Amino acid sequence: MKKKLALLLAGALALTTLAGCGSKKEEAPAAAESAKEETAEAAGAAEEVVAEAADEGEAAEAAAAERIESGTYPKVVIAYMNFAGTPKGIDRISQKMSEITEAKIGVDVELQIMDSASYSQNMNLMLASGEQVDLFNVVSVGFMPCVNKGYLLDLEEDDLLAKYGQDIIKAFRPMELNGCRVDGTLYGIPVKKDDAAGQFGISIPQALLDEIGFDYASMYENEGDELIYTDLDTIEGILSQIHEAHPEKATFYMDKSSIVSQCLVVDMVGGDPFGVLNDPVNSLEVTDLFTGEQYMELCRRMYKWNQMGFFSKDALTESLGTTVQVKAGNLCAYKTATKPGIKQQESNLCGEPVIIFQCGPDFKKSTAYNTMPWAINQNCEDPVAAMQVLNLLYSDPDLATLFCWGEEGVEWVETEDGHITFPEGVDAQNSEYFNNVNWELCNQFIARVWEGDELTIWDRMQKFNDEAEASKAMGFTWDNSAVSAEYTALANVYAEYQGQLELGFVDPDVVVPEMVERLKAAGLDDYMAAKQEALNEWAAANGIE
Amino acid sequence: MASNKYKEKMSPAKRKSLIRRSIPIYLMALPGLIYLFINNYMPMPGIILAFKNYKAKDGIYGSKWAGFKNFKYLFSTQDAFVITRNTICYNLVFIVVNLVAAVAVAIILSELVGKQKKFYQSVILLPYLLSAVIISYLVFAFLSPENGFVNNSILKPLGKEGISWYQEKKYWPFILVFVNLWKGIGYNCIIYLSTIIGFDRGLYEAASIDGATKWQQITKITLPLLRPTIIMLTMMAVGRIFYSDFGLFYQVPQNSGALYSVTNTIDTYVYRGLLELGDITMSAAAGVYQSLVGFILVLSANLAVRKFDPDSALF
Amino acid sequence: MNKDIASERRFQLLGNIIMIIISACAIIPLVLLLISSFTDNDALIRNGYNFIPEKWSTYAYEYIFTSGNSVVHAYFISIVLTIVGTALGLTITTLLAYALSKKFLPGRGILTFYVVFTMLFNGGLVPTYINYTTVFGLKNTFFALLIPGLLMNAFNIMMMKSYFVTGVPEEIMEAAYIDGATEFQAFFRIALPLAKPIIATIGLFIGIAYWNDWMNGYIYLTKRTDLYSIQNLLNRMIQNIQFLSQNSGNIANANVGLAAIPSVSVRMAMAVVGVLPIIIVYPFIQNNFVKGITLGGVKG
Repeated sequence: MKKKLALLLAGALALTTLAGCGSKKEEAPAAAESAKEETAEAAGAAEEVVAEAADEGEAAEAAAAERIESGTYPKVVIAYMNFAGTPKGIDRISQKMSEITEAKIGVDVELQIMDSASYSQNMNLMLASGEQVDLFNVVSVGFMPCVNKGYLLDLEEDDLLAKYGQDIIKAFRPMELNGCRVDGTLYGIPVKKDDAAGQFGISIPQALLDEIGFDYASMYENEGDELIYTDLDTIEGILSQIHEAHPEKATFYMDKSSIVSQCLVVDMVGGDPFGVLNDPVNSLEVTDLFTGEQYMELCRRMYKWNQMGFFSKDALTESLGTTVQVKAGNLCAYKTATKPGIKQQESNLCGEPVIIFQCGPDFKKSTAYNTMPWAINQNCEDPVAAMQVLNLLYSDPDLATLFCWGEEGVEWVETEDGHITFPEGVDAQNSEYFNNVNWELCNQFIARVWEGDELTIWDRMQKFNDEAEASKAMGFTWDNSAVSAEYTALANVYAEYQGQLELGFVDPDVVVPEMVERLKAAGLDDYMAAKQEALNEWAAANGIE
Repeated sequence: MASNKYKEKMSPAKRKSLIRRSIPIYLMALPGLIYLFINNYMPMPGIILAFKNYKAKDGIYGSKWAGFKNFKYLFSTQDAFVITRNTICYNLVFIVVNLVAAVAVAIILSELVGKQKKFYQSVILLPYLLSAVIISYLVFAFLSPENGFVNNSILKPLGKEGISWYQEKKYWPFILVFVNLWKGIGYNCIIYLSTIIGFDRGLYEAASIDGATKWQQITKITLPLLRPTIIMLTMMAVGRIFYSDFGLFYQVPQNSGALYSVTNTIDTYVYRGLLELGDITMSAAAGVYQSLVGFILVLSANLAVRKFDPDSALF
Repeated sequence: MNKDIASERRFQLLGNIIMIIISACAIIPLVLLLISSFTDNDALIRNGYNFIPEKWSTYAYEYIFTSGNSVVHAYFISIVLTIVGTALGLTITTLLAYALSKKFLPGRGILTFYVVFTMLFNGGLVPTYINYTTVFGLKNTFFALLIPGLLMNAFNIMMMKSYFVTGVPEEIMEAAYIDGATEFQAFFRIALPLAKPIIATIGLFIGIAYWNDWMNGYIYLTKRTDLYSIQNLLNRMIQNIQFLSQNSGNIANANVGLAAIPSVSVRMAMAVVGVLPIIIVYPFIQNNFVKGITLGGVKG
């Protein structure tokens, strides 16, 4: 198995190196780069592999040709979630996409788009009942829950990926695909998106900074930089000046559920905070987040800020988004995870220009690739067709643009400088296909760029992803089904304290020990031990020290 | 048992007439029985999902047995006591408070004269029509620490310090009981009201002629006549004693962590625990647990009722 | 006699006072809801809910009735669903309840248990879903809103059965049989008219259940947005907000989603729109209670 795997990867890499010189260079620079590093290793097998890859390419062509000749196109159902539910243009876009897939691989596609609230429920029911849904994004349904319930097809069964997903292999580094392996089996294909996040980003409207006379312009390291790198003490100074100038507004707020994940350089292995890597870049030791220095420091800082009056008294029960509050004039500054293009994004959302500060490093967690991969339903009748559609979604710019942005002339038109934007009379509210979830749609990197973002945004994104500090546990997936009883208890205890501690409503020096005691009683130690054991096994199997 | 004996003693002619009379009745019952079969009994075997280690490939019935593993999380935690206590205690209080209030309002409404009673009746039903989330917004309008009514328009003018309502758990048992009552009173009283309206007015007129006061009429005529309805509704509520209104305990306190020890019930616990796990077998296990307790309670309550008031028994 | 009148007057006074207090409790928050829906959204976020808003606005209603989410159509679905559902549900509930009220019916105990058992146990969501989608093919059809769960429930049957037992005296029915009426005739001519108050009540319960339901649409409608009812629209909006605020840790772009969801005043306006029809329809239903009273009078 392992040998086969290595061969396969080597094949992919070799191919990429060859293709890398061609026209698609900008699409997979990372893959090409990493390929160079690793070709030496695979040099011996390279020739053989290229030959094999060519064979496999033929298999894909043959399958497509056969379908096109027969004239009966199998239908592949593609499901994903958005925020507003099934868009009006869904059938039209399905049909437009089918035109491309019919011509290229002899397959029809049908979209199923559900809103975030019901997606998990609906997908679970559809997958359990055996309804047709071939390709789907596991976001919100959960990758490990899907694997545990056996919903997902082994993508390397009968060389499915190698034969029919060659462009997918090209689009990723092996490490990225490995992020979707569980015990060596590949269950998903990651999305091309921002894999890293700038930790502890703070967004403050420019007008407010000007009003208090804060000189942010000189703080940029280089001219034309998007972000200002600084520390929390500086932010504290800014916030207290803003608080003085605007005591009627809340000075600062953070979305409750993302504080640890977007502020601290800890790797919440498997996505839960019960047993984390407190020093993720260097060590694979699973330690307690809550007794760790970083968490304590954060809580103390927030407690101080709360005492200084930065938070609204309603912060604990806030259900509105941060930018909505800023727009309404109720909030001054908020935390955000940064990435290339963030300044433009937040400015759009707030309805005024903002300045983005960043107090932590760019960091890539071990869950970066498996929170929302695409997968094939184990129940799928024609996995070859499904894989070929997926392959096309990752490699065909026209199809990717249709999938992400809709139809040219209806949902978007080209601008003079090569961007795309709404046609006249169309906006986000009345557009028939404007999902705003391109981070979930396979490969937005090859789709057209919407007005407002730089045309080079995806190159920058790729660079950002590559250069961010990465957790050592990259590629590890955590299956907690054996300790699910402990998990439910822990989740309930943490939920009780989370908001109060992390928004500084209670004194962490008193309350953190209390919480830790209750977590221990709920089985924290057992849970952490199980996590550590799984991590060690994975490290041993993958040769990581 | 009793009906069997009765049947044995019947003459053939009588039995024939009984059968003739019964056939149309069975026909009437048929559509409802079929619906219950489709809606409730066909999926019923799915209960075994709670005892399975579900794998999609093998389906619900083909998956391996897991014994009671899926139930473990309901009992193995320190919170098991708190959530069980909360669920039962709130339900007991709700049953009593709602019963007293609904019967009282129904009696008042049935005795009032004048057009305004129609107005009362419509208005008190309205809260029932709001979804839990909207109710949580309204409660928040009153209790928000920053902008809320109680803090700003009541406590402040009185010169009192505002209260951080969503962090102070001592108030919440009362708030929840009140909200529950507020929401349900109009709906709950309807059933009693329609029952009272069906009573024979002649009884009241006779009593009035005999010089009975209003209070006597209520205690001597209305309440005794209402007894079967009260018993039946209470028994049905007892069957749901392990269930809680998720919206009331999750949305209305705004999922505030500080209040968990008085707002966490079986349903909210399961929800929070399974939010990320998304485990259908574990949630099925919670359902089986709740049903089973309810079933046992209803069976025993029914047994007791059958002893002293056979006509009011459920079955 | 004077004493009687005095006691009656005291009762009326006290009763009215109590009902006014209860009505006020019910109506004040609803007035707040109404006012909030007419408040400027930003003012609402800044100042919270207020009886006297800083700034009035009809934006929420303009948004609801002009933007693409077709509230008018959803209204239509809700109304049709409620009428059809109530008519069907009430019919089969009444028939079954009447049957169960017949003391002479062989197997009555077993049938009653068959009904009550459904109140205590159910197969759970997944098996129910599989049943309705794979066996009956209800998914993405109007029937998916109509049939699962709502058409009839044990609670209503038991309530109605108990009314038939106590409110429709056996002697009257027997008299009808002696006059040569068949079972059906006796049911339609005697039992039904006498049961009007409970029929109106259960009809109201079923109607409210249909009007308020969003669960069926949430589970069974994944494509047919044209079948969304008004509650479905409202609840999807609200649930999306909840999903996003819970998951912003997992989904870095949740922020973008939250900003895209209609604002607070729109949620309030949706709630108002959802309650309105019941306020209009309810008085008509009440007339049936009144008819029940007059009938009761005749009976005595």
